[in-house]
Amino acid sequence: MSATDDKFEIQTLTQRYADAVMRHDADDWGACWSVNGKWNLGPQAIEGREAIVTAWSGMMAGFPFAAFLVQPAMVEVDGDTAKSRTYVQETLQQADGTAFRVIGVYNDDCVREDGKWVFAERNYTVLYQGPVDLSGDVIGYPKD
Amino acid sequence: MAVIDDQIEIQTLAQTYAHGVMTRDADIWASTWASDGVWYLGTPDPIQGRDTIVQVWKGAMGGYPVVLHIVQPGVIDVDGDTAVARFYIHESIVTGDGDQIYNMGVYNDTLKKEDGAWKFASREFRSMYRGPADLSGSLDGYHAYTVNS
Repeated sequence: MSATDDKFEIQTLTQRYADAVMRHDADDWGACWSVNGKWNLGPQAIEGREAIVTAWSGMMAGFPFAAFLVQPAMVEVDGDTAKSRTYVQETLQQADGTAFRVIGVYNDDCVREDGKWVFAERNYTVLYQGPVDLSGDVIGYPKD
Repeated sequence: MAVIDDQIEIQTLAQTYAHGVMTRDADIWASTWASDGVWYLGTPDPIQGRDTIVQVWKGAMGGYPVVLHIVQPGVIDVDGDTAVARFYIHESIVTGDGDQIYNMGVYNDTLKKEDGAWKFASREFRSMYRGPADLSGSLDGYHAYTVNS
């Protein structure tokens, strides 16, 4: 498989992830992760696919509506590992019916497992979180 | 042709469709459809055949001074000379009354090759949200269903 093919497969991985969020499909979403995956969302990383899927299912239960848009930014392949960056825009509705928006960036490590690209580590940085009209605080891109 | 080449061509087809909407160019937009394409928009009867589809599209676009159509790269599965795909779209629309609305949803598509080029054999749109741009309208979410074929 050529490097271009690998790049495309990794881009598709980020799309399959988004598609699974849209459809609230835990099986398809979990299949995007390495068994030993690590999800850095905040102070405490979540480790292992099983724990990650459990955490995600809990979060998604709080959002009757979740729309997850992904903009491909960068993929660098090095053999059976790769780095990827995507920008995401999330529109989330809470149980009380109010919607809010999160704009962020995912910096990822991907790995080829059993011939298939999956996420080894996803690091999420929130750039904006607040009302959909962007009247909230803009956090901006991290310096490092 | 490798499957990934097909996927990239289909991804480009969805971008060409968006470009046709953005530029309001009926020829570009029509070029993405198979001649016997079917467009499911939630009405009781689907719209059948490229010529009819283009007429309906022209009429619809005529009612909207502004339509900005953004499409995600999508999820595409190729099987020989046919394929299925899902593309999430979001549109910013200005209506004839001057109202700004936001439209978000998913196209569930079937594709086929016509004269060696990938075309939409069918597009079925399901709305996830349509309403005020501040999302104060009803958020419908994703509805599972079977692609018509």
